[in-house]
Amino acid sequence: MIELSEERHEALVELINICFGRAMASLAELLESHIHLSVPVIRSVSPEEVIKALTASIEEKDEVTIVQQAFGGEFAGEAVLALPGWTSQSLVAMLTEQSGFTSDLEIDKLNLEVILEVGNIVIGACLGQFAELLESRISYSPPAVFLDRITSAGLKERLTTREMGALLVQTRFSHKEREVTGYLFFFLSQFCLEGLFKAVDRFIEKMS
Amino acid sequence: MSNLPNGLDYAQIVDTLSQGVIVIDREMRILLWNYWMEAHSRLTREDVLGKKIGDVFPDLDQKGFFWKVRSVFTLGNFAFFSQGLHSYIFPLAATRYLETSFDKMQQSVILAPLRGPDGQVEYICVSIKDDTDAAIYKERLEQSKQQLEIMSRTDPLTGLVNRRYLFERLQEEVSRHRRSGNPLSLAILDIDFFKHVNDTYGHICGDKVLVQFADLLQSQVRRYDLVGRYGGEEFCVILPGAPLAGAENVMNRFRIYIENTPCLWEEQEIYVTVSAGVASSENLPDVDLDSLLRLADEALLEAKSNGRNQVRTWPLDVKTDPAIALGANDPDVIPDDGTIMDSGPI
Amino acid sequence: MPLSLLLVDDSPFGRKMVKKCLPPGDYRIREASDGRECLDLYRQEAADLVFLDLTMPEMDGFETLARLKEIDPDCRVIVVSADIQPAAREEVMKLGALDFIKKPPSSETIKEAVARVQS
Repeated sequence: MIELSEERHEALVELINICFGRAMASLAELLESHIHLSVPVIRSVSPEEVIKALTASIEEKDEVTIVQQAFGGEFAGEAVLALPGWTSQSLVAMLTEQSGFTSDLEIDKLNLEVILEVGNIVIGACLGQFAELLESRISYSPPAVFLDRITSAGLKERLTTREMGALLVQTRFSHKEREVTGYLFFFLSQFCLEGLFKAVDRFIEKMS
Repeated sequence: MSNLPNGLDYAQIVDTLSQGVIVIDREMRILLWNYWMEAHSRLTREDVLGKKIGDVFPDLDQKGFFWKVRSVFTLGNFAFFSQGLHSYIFPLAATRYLETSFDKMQQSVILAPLRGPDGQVEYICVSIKDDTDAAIYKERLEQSKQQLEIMSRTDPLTGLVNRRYLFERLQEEVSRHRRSGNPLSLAILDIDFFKHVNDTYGHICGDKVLVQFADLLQSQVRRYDLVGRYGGEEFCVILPGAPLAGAENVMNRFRIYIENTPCLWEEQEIYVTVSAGVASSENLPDVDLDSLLRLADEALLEAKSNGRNQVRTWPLDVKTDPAIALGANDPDVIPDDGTIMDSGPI
Repeated sequence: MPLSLLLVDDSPFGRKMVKKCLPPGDYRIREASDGRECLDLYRQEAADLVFLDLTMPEMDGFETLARLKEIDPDCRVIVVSADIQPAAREEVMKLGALDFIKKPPSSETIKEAVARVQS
């Protein structure tokens, strides 16, 4: 569990808010359509609570597509974007109908490819903005981009972590016709928390 | 930013890499083509520099390549093509020839933004990693996993599914029944006086009879019924979609069939009979795995205590004796010493 | 006369950032943490300039802006938002916002904004 003072928490909420806005702008550009943002819920939680939050909103039997991307640098950890099955389908439809996405992949793989790209762009834009605001550098580990279709029961296994605290960013983004819901989590390694706090403090110093 | 001495340029370094490096501009023209690319594409720099990458590799559009390229130019993100999804992006010859089915080099590809002096993304660096080895290992792992999977659910003697897998599937069928409301029946079969086959002809013969019995049972059920070995000389059949009467019919048909079809061992014909108990979702308010098994077993015990070579259903008092109704052998003909095998003429 | 400002953002840090970027001067600052509170405060007393966030729970910035314009068609609103999609910018300009500032705001952009209403 990441312990946060109120001031740091407020700053972090705003930071993530800005990062998420940037990520959604990228996604909107990719989908060539406007995405309505709702206020992201940002909490510092233990990994068990992440699973609780996820399973509360996703039926036990439902499929979840997850994109996992490791990142390193001053802040190391893993970002996870989880999308319920129907969201994946909406995104695929939006991409193929509206932005001229073509591919000769068979349908199952095509769905995964679209989700992979959406995840890559959302996570990449979010982390890129985060690093920029905190005047730090984040390097991605491309081969760690990982995706799977699993039930939330399987998710429990996957998101088990030893020593990481998690920053839970839960948000919903929607579209004129299609409702798409995404859950974005950042798992941060304990050893970089001090670095994170220092950077956040610098940001607070600069901005307020 | 480097401490490289004059005269040592990056191109030389890029040429030593054991992965492909291509740089393209906004017009998709190729600006850099490292040595690895020359070696694996069999196209020299003279062949490709200044040409559009889509002209060199005409299938790229179908791979979604340009779509991702556009996204890198507009958003400045990194983009990835994974081997698992695409197998390959560039049709390069395979680098491994033994023990592999890949005729093209398996690749993972990264598109990275390169920025001009004003910070705009002007070029893209395409790097290509040979993932053929990893793909081969993945394929082998997949094969071993499948083999293990098959082994773990197969009864080694009869080749039928084993008890563990049988229960797994029964649980699935129970869930399906609960969702769809379609009937589900379960039969448990037991070869009558099987101990005497072993005692009379030996265990090798007993095994042979079990194998042939399993094959015959498999051949007599419906296509979507699942036959498994429950243990010893006991077998189970899951009959999805079959109501009690239907399942009873299938079992009776088999009972008569086995009664008249000899198992063969060392040129001897060995006849066995079978007793079976059938339970169905029809008569159960609350269907679950345990109740189906327990009630089918109760019906089987009833068939046994009632003289064997017959099919009984649960609930037990509903039916007349199906064995008699179908004109089966009178169970009383079984001799007192228990030898029921009718060794036919040799 | 101090310049009267109304800062509207559900995030306290979002409001802090705008305050930090204000050029030195004489201000009367009121703060609201959602759209409804903003409308109430504005009805009580108009402000020379409203800094308005877009992504807020319940009543979002788009709706708040439209309602503010109903209350006072001359109301001067500068949107400060993390929602940087071009469509969001177009929408608020259409609704009559004076300008759109990306989060995090900089001293220069806030200074410019204040200068626009002072002149």
